[in-house]
Amino acid sequence: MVTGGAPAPRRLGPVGGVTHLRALGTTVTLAVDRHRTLAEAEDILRDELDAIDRACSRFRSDSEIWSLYAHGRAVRVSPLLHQAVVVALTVAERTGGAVDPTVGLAVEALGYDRDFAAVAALGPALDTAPTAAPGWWCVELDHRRRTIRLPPGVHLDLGATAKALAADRAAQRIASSTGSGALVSAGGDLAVAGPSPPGGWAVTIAVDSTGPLGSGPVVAVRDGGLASSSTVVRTWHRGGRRLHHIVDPATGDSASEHWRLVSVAAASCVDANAASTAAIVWGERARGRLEAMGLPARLVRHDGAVVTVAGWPTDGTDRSGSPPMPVDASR
Amino acid sequence: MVVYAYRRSRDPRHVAFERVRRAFRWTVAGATTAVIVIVGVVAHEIPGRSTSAATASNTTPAVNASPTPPPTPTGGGGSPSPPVTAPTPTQQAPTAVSGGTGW
Repeated sequence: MVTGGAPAPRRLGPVGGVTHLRALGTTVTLAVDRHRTLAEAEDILRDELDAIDRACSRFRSDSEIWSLYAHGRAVRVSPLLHQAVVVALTVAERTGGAVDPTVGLAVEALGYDRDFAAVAALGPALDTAPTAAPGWWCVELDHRRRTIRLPPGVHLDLGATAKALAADRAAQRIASSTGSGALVSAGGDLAVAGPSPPGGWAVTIAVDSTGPLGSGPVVAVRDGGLASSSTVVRTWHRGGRRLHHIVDPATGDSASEHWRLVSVAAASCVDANAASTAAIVWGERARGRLEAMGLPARLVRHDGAVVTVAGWPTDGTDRSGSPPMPVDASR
Repeated sequence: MVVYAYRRSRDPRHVAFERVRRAFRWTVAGATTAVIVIVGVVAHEIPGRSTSAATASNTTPAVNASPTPPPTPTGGGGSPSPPVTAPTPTQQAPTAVSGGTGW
């Protein structure tokens, strides 16, 4: 569901425009480099967000994804849900299973079984021990018939990849329809398309995507996508233990908190989101893996130390004025 | 020569036997064809663990029904691709915030 309730549209630079809206349980930011295209761009964005919500939301009983849980049989699905599942499985494969859509029941078992705003911040200890995800390879796709079959007892969580997919789709569609450069940020996972403004799109990197614009270092993005994943937002407590929303498929539990924030730039928002989420799951090994993939990334350890890889600029442009955290080059 | 004589025989018993053999051959050939057609139709009509999932597109994962993950899960799918240009430092006023969130 897409709603208003966000800051009013404003002009961006000499000719651009920016607006915000609420969707997918988060704030979505839209920026265009030609202000006169803002209204048309917003219509396109709302259409894409509404479509992805109706297809993939695990919090709406009327969303299409629930039809997959009917009888463990092959179900013909819409092109959008088919694309979202294909993207999720591709991401699972490309991350070696670190980002796996079959964590659906594991996430629910941890207590994240409704829109996050309705998840109780405190609660009793979990009834059952976390169990590993069934594994992305158990999802059966028939591309020609556009059917999906899930074994009984397997639920999908497309949250991460579907949100990024929506950002990519919307940005591309806006750019091709309006001719304007576009930035779409869905809760901090952002995609850019079309011509970028002089100097690129300026983006603040912060632990919380709902934080103020001046709350962290600022980088300019010119193409592809940028995504951040954090273990210190979207948290809740069960039995005195802090949980967060990034689940390690190997354990079915919240991933280890080696990093508090990982930001990655990639060729698309889907790829950036895949890498930033996987980095949280990979823990200490993330730095080397991101470097090997050539993905510019900024990783913040829990002690506050910042590590940058593959060409991500070092923190020297923090608009809040706070000095950059020390970098431990030994890791 | 004996065979030739046998085939050319007008003995009613031999003629009948020849007809039975011919009918048997046609029955075997027909049954084989029917089995091939039925198997093809069933494989075509019942979706599921078909190889089409793995070969339909180069951009999709090689989804299979194995109870265990492929030995090299990232081998066929590559890895996330880097952007054309890496982020650069800037002093511009920011447009958006990238941070932790979920859905």
